[in-house]
Parts: sequence; C-alpha cells; structure tokens
Amino acid sequence: MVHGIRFVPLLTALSLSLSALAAVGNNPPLTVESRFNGAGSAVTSQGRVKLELREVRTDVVLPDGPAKLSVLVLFEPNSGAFLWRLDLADVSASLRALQFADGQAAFLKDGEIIHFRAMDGPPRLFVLEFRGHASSMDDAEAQALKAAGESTKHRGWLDPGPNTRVISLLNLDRDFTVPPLSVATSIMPKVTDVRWDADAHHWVVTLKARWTAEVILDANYNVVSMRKIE
Amino acid sequence: MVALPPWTAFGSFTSLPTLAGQNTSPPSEKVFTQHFIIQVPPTTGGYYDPSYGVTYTNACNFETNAVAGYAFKESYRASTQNFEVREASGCNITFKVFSTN
Repeated sequence: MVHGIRFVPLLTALSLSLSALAAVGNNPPLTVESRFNGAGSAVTSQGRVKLELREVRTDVVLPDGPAKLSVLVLFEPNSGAFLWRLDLADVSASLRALQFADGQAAFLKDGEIIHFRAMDGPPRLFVLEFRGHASSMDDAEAQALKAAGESTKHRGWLDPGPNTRVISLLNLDRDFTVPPLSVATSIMPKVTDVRWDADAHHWVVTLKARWTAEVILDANYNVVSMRKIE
Repeated sequence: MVALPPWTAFGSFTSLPTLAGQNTSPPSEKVFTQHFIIQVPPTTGGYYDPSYGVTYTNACNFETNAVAGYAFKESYRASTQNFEVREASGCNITFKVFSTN
C-alpha cells in the first residue's frame, strides 16, 4: 500500500527509472568494475556438488542515465553448466553472492542449473532455469555479460524473464512473511532446501520465513500443494 | 515514529502534504505492508481510520481516497529495497476482519 504519494509523471515503477526504459537500438555494454569470487553448492539427485560463484559488478549507461548492475554467475566445473542472473548492484560487491549462500538454492539436473529464490512483498517463489554451458568460469562470465547486456535493451529488464517462473506463495497466508500486527515490516523468505522426487516426478521446495513451509511443484513448476510444516 | 526528513523526493516518488496522521504532519511513512482500521458497529456503518482521523464507507471508498498505488518488491539491497509500483485504479481491496471478541 502506498499512501499519499504522487507518482512522477509517466513513470509507474519506483525501481525503474531502470525498468521503464524505452528500448534502445544498440546493446549497452556492461563495463566490469569489480569481481567477487566465491564458492557454493548445488543439489543433485546424488548429493551436493561444488559451484563456483562470481559476482560481477558492472557500470552501464542506460537511456535514463548511468547505472550499476550486478551479474551473478553460478558455474559447475565438472559438467560445465552455468547460470547467470542480473540484478541491481549494491554498494557491497558481494551482496548477490552472499544472498545466494544465505537463502537461495540451486539444483543441477540434466545439465541445467535451476535456481530457486523467494521474495516477500508479496511472498513469491522465483524459479530460474538456464541451460548454459562453458569451459570455465571466465567463459561463463563472458557469455553472461554478453547476454546480460542484451537483456538490458528490453523494457522491464529487471522483471522476471521467460526462463523464470513466478509462483505466488499467498496460499501460505500473508502472515508467512508479515508479522500479524506489523504495518511496515516483512521478512524475506529463504529457500532452505530443494529436492527432485524422481518417483513422484515433482519438486519439493522448503522455505523458511516466520515458519517453515513446503511447496510441491510439478515438473513444469506448477503448484501441486503448499503447506506449513512447522 | 520516524521523523519527517527535510526533503520530499524519494526516487520516483514525491511525498505530498497529505492528511496529518501517525502523530506527524504530514506523515513520514507512506508505504505499508498492512493497514488497520476499525469497523464501526453495523447500526452506524462504515469504517474509522484512527491513524488519520477519517472515515470510509466501504473498501472501495477507502481505496479511492487513501491508496496511491500497489507495490511489489523486486530487489533487496543492503540499505534500500526496490519496488515496482502500479497506480491505484478501480476497486481491488477487500478487508480482512479481525475480531476483538
């Protein structure tokens, strides 16, 4: 709820200035400002595998002015699978990598990395699948920067793209992320576990906010059920 | 209560000199995850908003007079959050009733 606030004419998106871009003719180049290298893991049907993480902080000049964007690259060296995600950059060069480690999950399945993260306001689960292949993290970064630069040409580039499914978690109840009498506070839910049930042919995603919940998705990420488990 | 800052522009938003409320004039906080008002007994009808001292006849009347838009959180940063905002239009809000009994 936004109470007593006037919108700047022609802009309906607070964040965007950036997402309210008109399409531009040339691909805005992303200039690398800094890199943060880290490590994480992805879940597989046989257990966990190590992931290389790289957060690339970039400068880009968009039609409404300069911006700093963050490209997070997840790379699994044995299979060569990689995934990238574009977001607004933070003053910290490692925030997106830390957010991945602290409350998001990746699953490696059939040579593809599937990334699960959740957001409050309202509570939603984002599932991003990407079938990228690279020979090294440097190769993955180069491919990611090229694709990320391409994506910023489009209006609403920060919106979930065609590879992302957005799943409403409102059926878990609003109180899942909002304390009952709070008017200004909500809690960002964390994805604490993901597994693929090959027999049932569905995903089991465990989320933690004010309580722990389990969301079951079919192979196409349609909701089968969601419930509070503790 | 957060003190009113000495500026009115917040990114793409401008804070207007709206109703006094929340013990400030104008209120410094205008983005909420929830808002609580009081349902007046049915014999009288309507709703009273103690935060601002105004009344509404129903949910649509509340939405028309009090809501500028609806926000979806898009991204977290360390000190800021980014929202995509849709301007209020039509009647979309339904009240959830909490009983004091």
